[in-house]
Formats: sequence, C-alpha cells, structure tokens
Amino acid sequence: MKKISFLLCIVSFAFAGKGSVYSRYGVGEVNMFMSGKNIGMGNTGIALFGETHINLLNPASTASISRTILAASYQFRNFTSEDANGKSIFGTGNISSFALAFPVYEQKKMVLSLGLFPYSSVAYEMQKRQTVGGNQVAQTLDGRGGITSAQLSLSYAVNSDVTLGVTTQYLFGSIYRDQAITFLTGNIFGGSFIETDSYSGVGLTLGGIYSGIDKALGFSDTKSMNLGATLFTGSSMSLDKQSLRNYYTGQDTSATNDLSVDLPFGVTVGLAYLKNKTVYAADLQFQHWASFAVNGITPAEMQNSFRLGAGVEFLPSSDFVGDEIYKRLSYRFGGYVLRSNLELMGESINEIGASAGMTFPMSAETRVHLALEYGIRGTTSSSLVKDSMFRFSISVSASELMFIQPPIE
Amino acid sequence: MKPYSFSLFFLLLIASGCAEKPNSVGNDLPGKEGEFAILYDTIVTTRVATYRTSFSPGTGLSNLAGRIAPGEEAITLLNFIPGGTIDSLDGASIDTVELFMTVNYRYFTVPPPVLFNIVEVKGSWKQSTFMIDAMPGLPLENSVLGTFSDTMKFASRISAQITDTAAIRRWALSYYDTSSSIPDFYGFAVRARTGDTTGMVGFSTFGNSTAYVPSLFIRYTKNGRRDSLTFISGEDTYGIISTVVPALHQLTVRGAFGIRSKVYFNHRLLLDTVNTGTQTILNKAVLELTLDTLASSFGGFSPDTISALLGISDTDLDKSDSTVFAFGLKKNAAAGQLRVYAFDVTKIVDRWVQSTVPNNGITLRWAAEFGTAEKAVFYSRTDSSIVKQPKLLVTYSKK
Repeated sequence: MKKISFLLCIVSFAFAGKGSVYSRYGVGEVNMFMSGKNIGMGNTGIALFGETHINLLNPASTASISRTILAASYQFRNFTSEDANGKSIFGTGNISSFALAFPVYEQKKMVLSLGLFPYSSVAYEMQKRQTVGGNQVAQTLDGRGGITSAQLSLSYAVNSDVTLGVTTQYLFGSIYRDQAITFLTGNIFGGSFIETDSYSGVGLTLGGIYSGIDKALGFSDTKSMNLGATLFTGSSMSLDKQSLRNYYTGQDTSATNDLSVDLPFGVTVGLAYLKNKTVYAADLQFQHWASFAVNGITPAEMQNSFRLGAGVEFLPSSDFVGDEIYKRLSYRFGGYVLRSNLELMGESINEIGASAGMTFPMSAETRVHLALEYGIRGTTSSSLVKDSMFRFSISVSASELMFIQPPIE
Repeated sequence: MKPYSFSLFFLLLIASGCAEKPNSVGNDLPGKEGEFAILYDTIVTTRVATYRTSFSPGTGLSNLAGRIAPGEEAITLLNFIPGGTIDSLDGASIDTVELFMTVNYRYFTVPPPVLFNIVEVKGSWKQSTFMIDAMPGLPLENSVLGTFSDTMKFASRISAQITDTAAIRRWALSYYDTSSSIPDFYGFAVRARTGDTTGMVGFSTFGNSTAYVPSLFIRYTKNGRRDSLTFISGEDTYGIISTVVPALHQLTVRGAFGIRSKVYFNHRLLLDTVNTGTQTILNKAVLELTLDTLASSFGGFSPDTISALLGISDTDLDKSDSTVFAFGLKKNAAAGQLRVYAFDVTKIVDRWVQSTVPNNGITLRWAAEFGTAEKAVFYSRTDSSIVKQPKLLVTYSKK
C-alpha cells in the first residue's frame, strides 16, 4: 500500500498544470510556497529559525539545525476563476519541494542545505470563441511549465546574536505556450503554434537573522525577538525561444537563442517574537518587478510586488515522546495581503488570504506539517478575473543523525 | 490513519483536478504578446491580364471541329496508320469507304443536324507537335471527300461515305508501296462546311477505348473475291483558325482556343519578408470571380470548371506550376443574382505567405481546356461595381 501511495503522488505530479489565467504574464505565477509550516503562519518565517524543519525563506534560518533533515512537500490547489463570461474550477496537486539540510560545522552553526522547488509556475487553459469572416472559430490557449530553483545554502553564526546565510540558486525550466486555432464552420484549415521558452540563470540570496534585537535595543532583558532580512540579487537569465508552427502547406520550427531575461531583485524583512510558548511573526516582502525585462523590454503589465504576512504559532506544551499526542501538537494561524506583480486594465491584481496549520509528530524524528490556505485574488470588475484559491499543503520533515562524527571514547 | 485512507485521499485530490474543461474565463484580459489574432480580409486585384496561348492538343481524348461564331473554326485532323493488313489492298479495287467517328462533346449554336465535310490534308503534321495555332499554315484540299450529316448525339457513332476512293487508294499506296516516287499522304481533316455556324463537336480520339476510336472501313475486291478491312489506329489532333481578337479588357477563359487569364493581388500578407517575422498562418484563401453572363457562352454540356494555377513567372505570363492548383466552381445563385466562381486557392496563397515562391499571380484556364470550347468572361478590376471585381477573401492568423 505504501508503494501505491507513492505512485499516486507521482501521478498527481503529472497532472499538475491548470491554474490561474494570470499565470500567462511574465514568467508565470511567482511561487510563495516554502513549507507547510511557513504557510500555516501566513507564509512568514524570515526571522524564524527552524530546528525540525528546513526554512527556505532565509538561508540564515537553518543555523539551528543540529541533525540531518530531509523534507518534502505536497500541495493541492483548487482554483475557482470567474469573470463576466462565466466560471471555471480547476484543481491540481503536485510535489512542490524537496530539501535536505545537515550541519557541517557545529561550532559555527554552519549548516549546508540543498533545495529544489518551483520559483514560478505557468498553468492556464483558455478558449476564445469568435466569428471571423462569417465562420465560427475556437482559439485554445494553453500554458504550462515554469522556472525551478535548485539551490545550495549555507548558514554561518558570526556570534551568538548574528547569523548569516547565503543561497546560490540555479534557476532553470521551460514554459510552454501552445495555441490551437480550430474553425468550427467552413472548410478552413486551423493551425497551431507551440512556443517553448527555456530559461536558465543563477541568482543569489543573502540572509541574516539578529537574535534578541529587543534586548540589544534595551526593550527587554531576554532575547525574545528576532529580526531577519534577505536580499535576492536577481538574475540575468538566458532565454532560448523555440517555435513550432503548423500551417496549411507544412510545418516549420524556428529558434532564437540569444535572448535575455532580467529577473528583478527583491528584499524581505521579518520579525519574530516568542512569548509564553507562542511565536508571533510578521514579514514584509518586496520585489522590483518593474525592472523585469525580456531582451531589455519590460512588459507593460509588470509592477513592483509587495507582500505583508503575519502569523502566530502555539508551540507544543511538551516535546516528550511519552506524552499524549495532543500535548505535542503545535497550531498556527496567519494571514497575508499581496500586491502582485501584475497591473491589468489599470488595476493592480491584489490578493488577500488567511491560513491555518498544525504540526504533529509521526515519530520521535519525523514531523508532519499541515496547512490550509484560502485566498482571493483579483476582481471581476474592469473585465478582470477573480480567483478564489484553496490550498492544502503537507510537508514531512524527517531527521536523523548523519554526517556527524560520533565523539571518540 | 489507515494506509489505504492516505491513498484514497490522494486519489480524490487527483480526481478533482481533472473535473473541469477550460472555458471563456479570462477572455477579456489583455492579450499577451505572442497571441494570435485571427483576421479576415478582402483583397482586390492590382492587375489582370487576358492572353492567348498555344498548346498541342494531340494528347487529349477529344478532337474538336466546327464553328461557334464567324471568324473562328476548329478542324480535326486524322491520319490512319495501317498495320500489315494494308498489303491486302495491293492490286485490289476499292468498292466503298466509310469513316466512323464517335461524338463525345457537343456545343450547338444551331439546331441539328449539322454538316461536317471530310477533306484531304495536303501538308505534314504530327500529333505530338501540332499546335492549335498552326492550323492556318496547314494546307487543306478544297474538294470534299465525304460529309457527316447527323444530329451528333452524345456517344453516337456517326459515319460518312468517302466517295472519292482515289484518295483512299493514294493513302493505301503510301503505306504498302514505300518507293520514293509515291507521294506522301497526310490524312484527313474534318471541318464545318464553309459559311456554316455549326457549333462545336468533339470526336473521340485514337487514345480512347477501341469502341469509340475513329475507324476507317474499306470494302474491296481482289482476285474476284470481296473482302473488307477496318483501320482503328493512327494519329489525330485538332487546330484552330481564329480571326477574333479576345476581349483583353476583361478576364476571359476559354477552352480550345487557348484563352487564359491571370490575376494579381498585392497585400502585406502576400509579401513574405513581412510574414517571416510575424509568423502568419493562412487559414483559408478564396478567389472569387463574378461571371459576366452576357459575354460568356456555355454549351450546357461540358463541365464548367475552371482551374486556377500558381503563377511562377512575372515575365512569362503563361508560366505556371500545374501541380499547385484549385478548381473554381459556380456558386449557387438565385435567378437574377450574380453568378460567382469560387476557388479555394489556399494552397497557392500559402506559398506566397510562407515565402516558398514569389507572388506571380494566379493563372486561370479552362479545366477541360483541350476538349471544350466554352467561354467564361469575368468582370475585371476596371468594373465600376466593386462587388463584381475579382477579390481574394483571406482568413489568417498572425501575432
């Protein structure tokens, strides 16, 4: 049965594809997903250290990991998109991230982590019907794919208060945009056009966490508050564009290999505060999408994005394996507002959402993080589309003592 | 949680992901760069030309003879080539000679019966090389060897007695006696009686099946014994004598007489340097020509199909690629409405759009050009009514 479960997971990955029509623009929908634990708190965590999970939001946050952790996440998404023309419901799920982290030099809290997760995703399918020259024609627009980030991170503790980290991201992937034209009346040849954009580039994320900023500023006698920040340098990516065109008397392919894409820089700032086994966190994210450009040209619809998220986590009252399960659970709630990187029809495409989550231990070394998220993006006014999104995430973190040399007797 | 519950849960998630088909949500969003726009356009002609060309009709299945109007005539040429049996006529007296032919096309301008005379050809010609416009240079005997007088019904086998057996004797002698002193015999011509406007008749050629080919039936007496011979093989073709100048100001297409036309269109879509960058897909191109029914003449018997071919030279009007073509058919129209020929020329225009060949116009010719004499006259670009002018209706998609 375990094998069947695994196969079903793979199959669900293959079905990944359909989503918001807003993913047509730019490099697609920029992924905010990191792990179920972050999502439960409104996807915050810039200033949070992770001891039992890998926090991909900030490379400095892995510094507190003392054992090897392997994490994987699955997310199911359900979209209800509506506008004046009607309503569409799409659902899809896929394995959304893999990560591995292990300490390499405990004295300096140097933890190396590897991660693989989607940076952006394109998933839409539309059908336009119109009458041209007295004939009914259906135009199908289908987009899929996205950019994946394969990254290597390293944390480093400068002292007991300041932790730094750096992530090198190799961004790669292909976005496929297909169009098919089918005439429903008249003996007319339709045609199709398949465009494949292949991206590759390298980016860098620098991060830091200051532990006990409250004490350093004299607000408190204890270190209860962390301040975190990251800087994504952006990436100058290469873009290979290949087209396949079917026309009446034949088919041809053309390729353009010397295009470039400027992925813009971004900064995040976050605060985390611990009091009475309750963690409060808030993050602010900014990315300068106004400087996004394909071959030096910025699409008219791009704008800078901002995201404000806040969440709270109630830590388990006990970590003792022998205690009852309910004492070992942690609960989270959060919310966020997002000004996305799109401005269409003179209106910014904004998103607001709320989330909840929990973590329960599967064993002494394994944690399962569940998160539910509901968000609304866009509006039906101004000929725009309103997406109602429901996301369900499962992240599993398993830890083990590996790569650590046992003390010599 | 039982193990199978976990699997069932995933299965439900997958199933819900496959539940919906795409619909029109998002259609009002601004189009992204790269999205095809589907367009429809009417392109008018920039130039038309009507011209007369010559061809060798000897490979056709029909030889024409007759006269539809004064000043033009089609004449059938026949030359029977006998086998070894011709030696039977050596020393024989020819009693009767009958020429049989099969009607496979007719276009009458007067009620039948109609008369066609058989005369002797006095000059050399070859089926494979004889051009329709070579007829005026081919001498024909004036004296009549025989006459067809018939209603010329389709597929009927008509016959004519050749009363001048001396001509047949000379024909036979030229084959069984090959000495150089024997003059060559060049065959027979079948033509309308001088002054008659008989209409046009098509006769089955030697290339048809045996039952329909021309045949020469000879009864003879040799050594006191009567016998007969039938000859059914030979060479045949036809030629045209025409003193009528085609109306070049209009688009005219006519079979038999080699009258063809050419239409030219000019548009950004049809200029390829533009399309290469914009990735145009041609969905359909229809050439529409409006028939001038008063100027046209149809016999009502043959198919009225016209061919449109890809023109491949701008300097040679008639040079075209006969492998890239479309047929034009008369669209149905109520009484009193314009009769329009529509050609699906997508295959031709797509070559221009995709830059495969340069745009050198579309050549128009009668589909059964060798064996019919109908004439279609179309309104040209100079017509005062835009509706009647030739046009190209294109549906295409471009980024």
